[in-house]
Amino acid sequence: MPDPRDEHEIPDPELARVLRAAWSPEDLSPEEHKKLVAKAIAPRRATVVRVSFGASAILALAASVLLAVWTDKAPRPGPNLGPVLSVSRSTQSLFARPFAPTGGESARVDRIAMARAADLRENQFAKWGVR
Amino acid sequence: MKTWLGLLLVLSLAFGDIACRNEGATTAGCPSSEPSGTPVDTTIMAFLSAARALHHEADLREKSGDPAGAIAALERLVAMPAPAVAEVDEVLADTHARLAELRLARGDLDGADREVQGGLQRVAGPTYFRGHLLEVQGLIEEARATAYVDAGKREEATAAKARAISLLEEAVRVQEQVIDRALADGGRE
Repeated sequence: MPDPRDEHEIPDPELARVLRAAWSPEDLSPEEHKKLVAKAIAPRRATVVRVSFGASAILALAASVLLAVWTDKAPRPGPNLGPVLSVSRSTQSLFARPFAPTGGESARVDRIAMARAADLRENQFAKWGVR
Repeated sequence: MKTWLGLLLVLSLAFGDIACRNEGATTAGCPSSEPSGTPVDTTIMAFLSAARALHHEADLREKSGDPAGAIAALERLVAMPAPAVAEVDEVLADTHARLAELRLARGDLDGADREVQGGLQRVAGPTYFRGHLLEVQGLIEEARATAYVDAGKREEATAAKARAISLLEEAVRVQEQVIDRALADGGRE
């Protein structure tokens, strides 16, 4: 095995260059600088950017198509306005015949209140999604 | 690249619109639309509940020989703040009709007539409620005619009798319209 302290031993030239550059780096030569810049701005970079955006666009498009198809098939209750609620309306249809000339108002308000109480319960259930 | 992005934007908007229009799909993020009419809610129900209670209180007072107490209970009802919906208007119209009957029974013909006018303002279309109010108004004019006869005022009595007949005929016409409509609709609520 050679002794590193031997003055006649020739050191590895690459190792010597690296050690020298680390200890005291020199400026790049103009040719070397031009070569590096040309390599950095080569058309290959633009192609990579285009391919990247193109792939993203295709992926997003595919996702939106899948979402539209999926929501089309997903079973959901009611129209797209949420639950269908009973709305206020005339109580006329609760009564089958004209009222008696006098009396009967309490019985009529009983009937109206009971009918609308049922509507209110239905509305609550519909809002809770349990109808 | 701009072409790609433009195409992506247009397609995304188009598919988003399809998803919003899709019947049965969620509407999260989609423009909302209000259903027609006021949904039956606790405010409407609270008013109807109070109306029911006050009418029954009036029943009890009438049965115990206290028509003034019955009138007072019903006056509380017509003075209450009321939601502007059809069923509340109809209950109030019927309450005015009952007040008119009570005032008529006590001989307060002008007071009874005011109640009828108040009720008619609540129900414009052909309903049993409007027909009933016109009928009560006819009864008021009939009572007025009798009062004029008793007072020896023949001309006034004749005029009141004519008004009574006209009002009772109008009441019948309204009731006939209601029945015709109900038959045409098949009696659905």
